[in-house]
This record gives sequence, C-alpha cells and structure tokens, in this order.
Amino acid sequence: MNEMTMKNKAVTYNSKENVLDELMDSHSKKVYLLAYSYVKDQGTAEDVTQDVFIKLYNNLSSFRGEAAISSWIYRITVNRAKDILRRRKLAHIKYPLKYFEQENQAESTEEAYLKESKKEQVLTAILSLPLKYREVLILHYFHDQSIESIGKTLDQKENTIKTRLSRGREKLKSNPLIRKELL
Amino acid sequence: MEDLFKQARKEFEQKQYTDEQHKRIKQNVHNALNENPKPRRNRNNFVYIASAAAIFMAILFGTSFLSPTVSNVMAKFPIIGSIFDSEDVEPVSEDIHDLLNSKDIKVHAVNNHVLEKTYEISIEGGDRYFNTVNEKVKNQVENLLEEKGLSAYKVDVVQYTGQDMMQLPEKVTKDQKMLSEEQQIQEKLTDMGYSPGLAFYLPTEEVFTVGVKMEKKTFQNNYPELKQEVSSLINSFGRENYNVEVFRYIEGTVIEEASYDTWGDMTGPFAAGRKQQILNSYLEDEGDIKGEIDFSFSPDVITIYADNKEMDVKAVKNALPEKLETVTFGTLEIKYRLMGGDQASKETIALDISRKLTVALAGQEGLHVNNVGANYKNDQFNIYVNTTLDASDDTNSTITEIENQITEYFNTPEGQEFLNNEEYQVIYKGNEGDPLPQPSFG
Repeated sequence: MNEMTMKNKAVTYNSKENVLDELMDSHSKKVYLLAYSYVKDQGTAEDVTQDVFIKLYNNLSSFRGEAAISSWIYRITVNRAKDILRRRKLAHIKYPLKYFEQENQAESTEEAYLKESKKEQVLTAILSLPLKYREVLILHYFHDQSIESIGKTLDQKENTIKTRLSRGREKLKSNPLIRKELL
Repeated sequence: MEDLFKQARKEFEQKQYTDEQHKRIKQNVHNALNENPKPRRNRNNFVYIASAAAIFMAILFGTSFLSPTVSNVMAKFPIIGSIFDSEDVEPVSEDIHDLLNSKDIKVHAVNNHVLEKTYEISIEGGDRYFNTVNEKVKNQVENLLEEKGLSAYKVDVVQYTGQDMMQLPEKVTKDQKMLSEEQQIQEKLTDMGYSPGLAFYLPTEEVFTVGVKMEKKTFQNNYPELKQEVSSLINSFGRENYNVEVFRYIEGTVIEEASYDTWGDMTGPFAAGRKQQILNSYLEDEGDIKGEIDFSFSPDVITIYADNKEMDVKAVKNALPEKLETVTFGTLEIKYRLMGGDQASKETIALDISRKLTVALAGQEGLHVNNVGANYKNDQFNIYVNTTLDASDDTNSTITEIENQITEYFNTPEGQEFLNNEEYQVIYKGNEGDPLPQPSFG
C-alpha cells in the first residue's frame, strides 16, 4: 500500500482501528527489524514495535500531507529504541548484575540463533558495528532509505550520514570474514 | 559489498520476524488501546531501569543546580560536555573528519598525537590540490578546536604520500616448484601419520604454516616434535629461511575458512588477522568460551580484547597462554592484557577514563596538562594528571580548575557508569614528575 493510498484511507475511513491494522500489516516487520538492530533483543524489540503503533494510533489524525507515514514511523522507532538504550545504560549504574544476567540470557539465545551460517555471521558483523555506523547502514541497505531521508530520521546532516555510511563500510571491510566474502 | 548487504538483509528478514510475533504485537497493541491488561514482556526489567534513571536524574539535577562551581565550569568549557557525552574514544578527531568531509576535502586520516598536542591531518591528492587546500584546512580545523576550547592543540596538515600501512600486501603468486613442495610436504606428513588440514608457504612473510587435525592433549604432547619434523621437511627443500607455524586444525571452526587465498595477503602488519583466526578457532573449541577475541600489538605486549558480554574472561585468561605458544608471534615477548568481557575490567575502564580526560584537559590552554594516566589499585581509581606546572609556583587555581572538570566528568552518565560507586583519587604531577599540592577549595 503506498503512502498516498494510506493517507486517503486515514481520511476517509472512520475506523482508526482498520487503518492501524493495515499499517501494522504493512509496516510492523520493518519497525520490528529496525528496533531489533538497535536493542538486539527480541522481547525489547517487540515492546518498541508495540509502543510505536500505539503512538501512531494516537497521532493518526494529525498527519500532515507532507509527512510520509513511513518516515514518521522510522523516526519514532529510532527515537524509542535509543530511549531504551539510554535507559539500559543508566540501569547499569545501579543494577549491573541483575540486569546483565537477564541481558545475557536473552543474548545467548539470540547469538546461538544468529551464528548458524556464514550469512548470519555477516549479519552479526553488521549488527556488531558501533551504533552510529550500524544505524545508517541498516536504514540505507535494509530499509532502502535515501541519505536525505536518513538525515531526517536521525536528525543529522546529509554529509554526516555520508561519512558514517562510508566509515561503516570501511569498518566492515576490516572484518576478516567480510573481507573474505568480498574477495 | 552491495551483494553482501542484500544477503544479510534477506537473512535478517527471513529469520527474525515470525507470523507469531506479528500476531502477538497486533494483539498487544489492540489490548493496550482497549485498556486491557497487556501481556508484555520483560516488564520487570523496566521497573529497575526506570528506578535507576530516576535516581540518576536526581543526582544529576542536584549537582547542576546546587553547585555554582560546576555550572561555571560547564559554561566556560563547553568541550567538556561534548567530549564526555560522546561514545567515541576520540570524539574530536571524528568532528574534524565530519567538518572536512562537509567541505569536500579529501581527508586521508586524522591523528591525535597526544604528547605533541597535535592533530595531524593527512590530505589525499596531488601537489597542486594540497597547496590549494593546505591553509584552508589548517584554518578551519584551528577554528573548530578554538570553538571547542581546545586551543592548546596545534594543527599539522600533511600530504598523504600514498604509502598506506593499511594497504594489504600483494599476494605472491607461487611458482610450480613451491606448490609441488607443499604437495609433497602434505603427503609426507600424512605418511608420518598426521592429518594435515592445511599446509602451505606464506612467501611474503617467510612462514610455512601447518594445521594438523589432532586431539588437544595429543597435540600438546607432540607439538615440539611435530614442529621439528615440519622444519626438517622444509629444510630438505632448501627453505631454511622459513619459520614454521604449527597449530591444531579444529574442524567445524572458523579455521575451515583458511586457505592461501584468504591468508596470502595476511602478512606483515596483517599477520595478526591470521593468528587471530587460529586463536579464535581454539577458543571456539573450548566448550565454555564463546565469542571472538581481537588483539593488538605494541612493541612488547599483546593486548587481547574480549569485549563481548558472553566472553568468560577468566576462562580465556586461563586457556590462552598454552595456545599462544603454538602460534608464531615472532620475537614478541607476550605479556598480554585481557580487556573487556562481561563486566568491563577495571583496567579497561581506567584506560577509557584516561583517554577521555587527556583529550579534554590537554587541549585547554591554561590548564598546562600534558596527559592523564589512570589505573585501578588499592580498591580505587588513581588518576595521574601530568602537567607542565612548576612545583615552586602557585598552582592552586589551575589545579582547582582541573579538579572541578574531573569532578564534572564523574557526574556525567558515562563517568558515573565507569566509577560504579568506586572511589577515585587524583594525583597531580609537575614538570619534573614531582607531586603537586592537592587543591584547596577556599
């Protein structure tokens, strides 16, 4: 469903729930995957996805014509995921052991899952990049976002996004596995 | 590269999101909107997180509003906030990169030579281009540093000469004689009862590398003898100048990706990549060690990074010495330091603290800071601020200013996280390395 169709539906349908359902069907996978690339935990990524659609529902009537819904969704997802990461960091101050135990448990399962094949190792390498490189690569290559659009989503200048894309790729190339794949 | 991303994307999309998750998310969203109880996950985590955040915010706001000294420092030195808030180890270099890239300058590298208090910027391109942009780059970076309150740093703009240490060495194409020798050595090893997984020359590095499939204990018992036997074989071909690297080839590990195709250019400064792969295959084989290690060399120390929360740092520390012996590290004395792991070691934290403080404090004119060192001893972080101050002068106002900024650092989220309720003390040293008096806040 393209953005214009969706916008028209938002206007003509009285049932916001129907619109929400359609938006969830068309966008929830992308939202979840983007959230996962930040928080790297299935449960937390689901929480972020739910929060994004609840927020979307509450703001459905306020969409302006120029704001494509998917851009809005990306921005809210990124902000919400980063919010979780910041909270995690703060949590380490006071409750390091308890939190780490839970986090480790979640990551062990995820890691075991991810390390099954070479392709998955490439994915792991991407997901292991520092956040500022990871997010631009994921948005660009996994979500087909343009430099301009990423700049708006992340509230950064286009030149900064270009630099990070380039350095992110360089960092990946320094990984022996990636280098081998490129040969 | 594009194909690699496509493959990874496909993998990501196929495996990570199931129909069941989709149904659960939709149901939870509808439940939330209908104000029904939500079967949410990990709620307990967030109770703790929210509590910790609230406690921290109280500390932060309390400090900012109640201490005029700290507020003044923040206002006077905006750099301190931007450096301390950054996730980068050296955020100023990143900013210089961003600035010059935004001006379409062909930057090759930005290096911070801390002890010389110099940012060296190397520029790609020919003489004419360099002469055109040289002054412009210098002025713009100086302005940036000035804006950040880091006017003590000098800017050195140099032309990139094209000799890039990071350039992979040329892979040598082996002649038929060498390939034939490899074949013969493999056959002879097989005749001797060994089971080689790989055996080939690395001509650029003059190394003959052999991975044999063998049980761990058997390998440990036979390692010296095996190495000697391989040496004799290559010597019989007149290759006395070659060193022998013998390691255990463990099937089903990352070592299976090794071949002359992948290792042929992992020589010289890149030999670490090859050795790292061997060590990682060893660690992969240990039941209780997960994750990968990374390491770097300095003249006499191998620093091993186990920056992975899954990594059992103690297990790695116990397992590595014997493994390091079986990988040729040349004449390096191996005094390795293990960093990272589940909870960052105090040593890693001390290093991060010293890096951040050095970049911020050494760059400020008037603070007279050369560099900052830190360690963790006697149950506390000891922070050594090395200055150019003369012990016979009145140093109190400068030391007080430095002390305030360090206090400010430890009130930032990162500083709080690093300290984790541990104590710290700051020791000030003068230009002769002599201790300076502690600040007196009067």
